[in-house]
Order: sequence, then C-alpha cells, then structure tokens
Amino acid sequence: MLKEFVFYKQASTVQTLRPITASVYRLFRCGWIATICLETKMASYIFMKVLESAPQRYDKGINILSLGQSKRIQQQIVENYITTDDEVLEIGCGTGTLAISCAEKGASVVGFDISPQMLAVARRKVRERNLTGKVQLQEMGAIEMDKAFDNETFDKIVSTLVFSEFYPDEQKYVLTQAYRILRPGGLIIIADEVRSNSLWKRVLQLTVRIPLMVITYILTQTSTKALKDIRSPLADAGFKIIREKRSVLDSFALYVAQKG
Amino acid sequence: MQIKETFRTAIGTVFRLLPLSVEPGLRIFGHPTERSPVFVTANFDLTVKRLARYLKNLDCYLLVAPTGGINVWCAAKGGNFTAHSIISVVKTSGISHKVANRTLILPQLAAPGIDIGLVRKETGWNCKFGPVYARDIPEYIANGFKKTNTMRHVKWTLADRLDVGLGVSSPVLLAILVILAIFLRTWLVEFVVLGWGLVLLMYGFFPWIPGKAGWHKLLFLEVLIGVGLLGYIFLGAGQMGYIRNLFFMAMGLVMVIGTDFSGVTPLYKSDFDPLLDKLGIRRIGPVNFSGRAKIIGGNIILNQTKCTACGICYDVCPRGVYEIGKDEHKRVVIKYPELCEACEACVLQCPEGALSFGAQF
Repeated sequence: MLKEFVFYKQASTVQTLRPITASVYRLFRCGWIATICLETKMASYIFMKVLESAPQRYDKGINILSLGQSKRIQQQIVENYITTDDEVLEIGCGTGTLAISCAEKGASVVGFDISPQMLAVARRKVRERNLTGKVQLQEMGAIEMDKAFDNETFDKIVSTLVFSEFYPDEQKYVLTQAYRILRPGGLIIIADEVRSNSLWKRVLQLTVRIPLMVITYILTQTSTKALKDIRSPLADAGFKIIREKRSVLDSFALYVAQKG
Repeated sequence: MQIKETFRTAIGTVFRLLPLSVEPGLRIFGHPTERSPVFVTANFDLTVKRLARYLKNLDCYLLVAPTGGINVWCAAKGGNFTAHSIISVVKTSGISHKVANRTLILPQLAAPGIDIGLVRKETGWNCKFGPVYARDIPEYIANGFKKTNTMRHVKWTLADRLDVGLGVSSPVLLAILVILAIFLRTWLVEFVVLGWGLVLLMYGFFPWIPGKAGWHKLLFLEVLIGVGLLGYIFLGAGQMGYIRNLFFMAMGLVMVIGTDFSGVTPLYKSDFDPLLDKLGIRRIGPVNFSGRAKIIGGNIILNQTKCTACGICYDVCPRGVYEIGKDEHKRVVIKYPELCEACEACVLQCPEGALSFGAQF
C-alpha cells in the first residue's frame, strides 16, 4: 500500500497525463471489487426470489434432508396400511406424493394443504397420472377440519412431516378432529422427524443433519422441525397407539394409532 | 428468563431477516372482561414484544397467530399470515368463550394477506383493521375504535430508516467482508468504515437524495461520486491512488447498498423487477421477473360501476391513495395514484372486486 502510494506521488509530479491512464488501469483493477459486491447482492436477490418458487423443489429437498427416509416411510405406509377401497384423508398433502401412491393402490383420497403453491404442483401431478377421480384436493388449514368433514367418514388418516409444524394447541385440536371423522377401528398414521432420547444419538443426528440442512436449504429452501411429543396428545384424543417404529438413527418415527 | 428474553431480543434485532418465532396463542393484558377488545398479531418475537409494550397498560386480549415467525407485513404479503392463521388461533385458543363481542382487531398492514370473508365463514368473527402502528392503539381505543388518517399511513422516520438500512445491508456487507478477508485483506478496514458509513448516510438522507425512483437516486449518487473523483483527479494536488481507490470502492458500495433502493422502503414499490424486465432479463433459472414487473408497472384501476363506496380501500391503504368524496354519494376516488406501492391490500379487501391492476391508468 505504502509503496504504491509513494510511486504515484512521484509519478504524478512529473507527468500530467499519467494519473489519468493510471486511474483507468486502477478502474479495471478495482472494478472487480465492485463486481464481487454486485454479484453477491444479485445472488442474494435471486436467492430471495428462488424462495418464492420453492414448492417445485420441495419433494427433492425433503428427500435430501431425511436421507431418503421420507420416501421410504411413505412407501411403507402405503404397503402396510392402505388397502383397496379405503377412504383416506391426508392432512397436509403438500405436493401430493403420498396421496397419489395411496390412490394408485386403489384407495380414494381426500388431501388438503394450506399452501396454494404446493397444491398447484399436486394438481398437476394428479392430472398427469389420470387420478383426478381418485384424488380430491382442497386448500384449507387443518383447523378447518371441524366444518369440512362429517363424523366417521374415513378409514385412514395419514400425515407425514406435518404434525411437527403445529403448535401444541393446534396438535390437540387436529387430533380431536381426526378422532371424530375416523370410522370406528380406523387408523391414524403419522410419520415425522423426532429427536432421540439418548444423548450420543442426538449428537450423531446433529452432525449428520446440520450440513444436510445447509445444503438442502440452499438448494430447495426447505427445512423441517422435529416432533416433540405425540404419544400423549394421541392418547388424550382417545387413540390407542398400536405401533411405533423408529429409524436406525432415531431421527424419524412412524406412529400408528387406532380409534377404539 | 429475563436474560434469555433480552438475548432473544438482541439476536432478533441484529439478524432481523431471520424468522424468530414465539408460540402462537392467547395472551392476556390487564384484567379484561367479556367486552374487552381482541387484537391479533404475527408470531415474530420482536413484533409481539413491541406490541406488548403498548398493550400492557390496557385491559385486552391478544391473539398471536402462527405466521412462521415472520412479521405482519411480510407474512401477509408472502402468504404466511392468512385467514388460515387467524382461524387456527381463534379456534384453538378458546377466545370465543371468553368474550361476548365477535370483532377481531387486525393490524392494518395484514390487509394484503387476509381474506376476512373466510375468517367470518369459518369462525363467525368479524375482522376490523386497526392502526398501522402499535403506539396508536391506546388512542385508537380512546377514540371509540376509530382511526384517524395519520393512524392509516405508513411513515419512515430516521430511526426506522437506519433500522431497515442496517438490517437489510449488513448480511450482504458481511458476506462481501468474508470474501475480502480471503482475497484482499488490505482493504478490510476501509471496507467496514466505508460500507457501514454509507449505509447510515444513504438511509439517513434517503428523503433528501434527489430522484423519484430508487434507481434515480442511485444514479444521482454514482454521478456525484464520479464527479467527485474526476474533480479530485484533475484538481487535486496530492493525486493519491489510495484516495482514488476509495472513490471506486464507494461507487461499488453505493450500488450494493442501493440495489432495489425503493423496494426496501415501506413507502415505494420496488423498481428492481421492472428494471430487469426493461433490460431484457425476463427470467434467471426458475425466477420470473416479468410477472411481478407487470403488477408493479401497472396502475390501480377502480371500476366505478361495481364500487359501492364502502370505503374499505380507503381504510386499508397505507399510503393514502384514495379519497372519499365529500358529496352525498361518498364516492371513492383514486386521488393520488402516484403514491401507490402495489401492496394490493385494497384489491384483496374490496368485497365487490372493483379494484385491479392494469396496464394504464
């Protein structure tokens, strides 16, 4: 820095034209600082805009984040618990992946979601697979279930990665409603991310999860929370838990509960 | 507990672009009765805290709606603060058993996102838009729940400007700082002083920088610095390369800080999308600039044959675009279309669908 400073000071005293040519040269050298600045700003602006188009990439994001578990668990739900001619309700159907798998197995599905953007993707997928007669989609919040559905109208209620988004009061409300609209003996199947009870597994989870979270967020602006406690709200609503399955790392759980 | 809350406030203030949420639900202030007012807000930590400051001496209920930890205006415009959020908190909080009246008082800036018809249909509650600022709530109540015109309008005071400037620019400047720290360590101190100094100057003097649109202001500043630089080169005695580099750096920084300079304000619509559209950049990857550019570039149009002069557009407009006629018909007129910032609150709230954005005025 100092060297440059001295150099210019000497040079400029002798030549009058020199500073102008030098400053043009400087402009090029300094230009790249400005370029970096601009690019960073542009990148952040575009990033913000990409956020708005996130639904198209939601499925991909969830799959990366859950290391493929979300897809596997959805397949398990369809294989083990959905039968032909079931009437299924999906709470928070998102882009419709699970609803479509259920319909492909012969069930008739009603799915709802709060996000019109997600539903637009879901509707397109349903149309592409010619399942419009089997899958019925609507935009509503889970709390609006009280007016939307009659008592005892569904055989199964499925919901993946949704209950962790609810706050405790909402969870309670939704489970009470779910109990009301299920037929006797009907099942509610909830799959969600959970936190392990053992410390070392939690540490292991976090080491895997934090880098994944960053990558997923950058690629798809999707993230999830962990479900805290679902056993007691389920029991409070009147359900009997008949199966609980946790993944190897204790990071993903499947709950199956029955209306008594 | 107190320490934790202070810490959260500090984090929330510095990193205000990140959503910091509190648990939604019912809060009780004072000793409310069944005739006390019910206010609604978003579940952004700072929002709830600031609101609580003005409600703590009143007897009222506050419903904190789930909006993903995002503030009222952004959540309303971004689809996080919708009728669904309100329906959820009304039904789960049991507020209906506590009060006899059925009127929710919403923040006025929630108007771009909330379908009040849907809230009424699902919960039986009516919605009313209260003042823009929480500090006006005591006066609003004393007025018999009537807003004055000043309560309807968004202002951008010096404190707010610096607040926004630092909140919006700091993450970008920090990112550049990291890049500089890796590649060009000699410029770090200058960058910090010049960067944050310019943020304070540019936002502090925002109303007085000549130019109507944000990029006009930006152009003015660039020319100003350019002229300063040329003047320095031709007239300056010292001819120090160092000072000249500072000029260049300032030019770059002004661009960075001022990108979408009017879009960050609560007063003007963003001119970034239309500018890109004009330059021929219609989309980058999945991002479509021209769609939004059309709305921003258009003007608000009122279909007088549909208008019933209910005045809701006048009530929710944060910029005072509308005026209600003094004659007996009380007709609504678009008096100051140039003030419109395309928040679309009136378009959504108009019960007759009489308002829309069109190509020409």
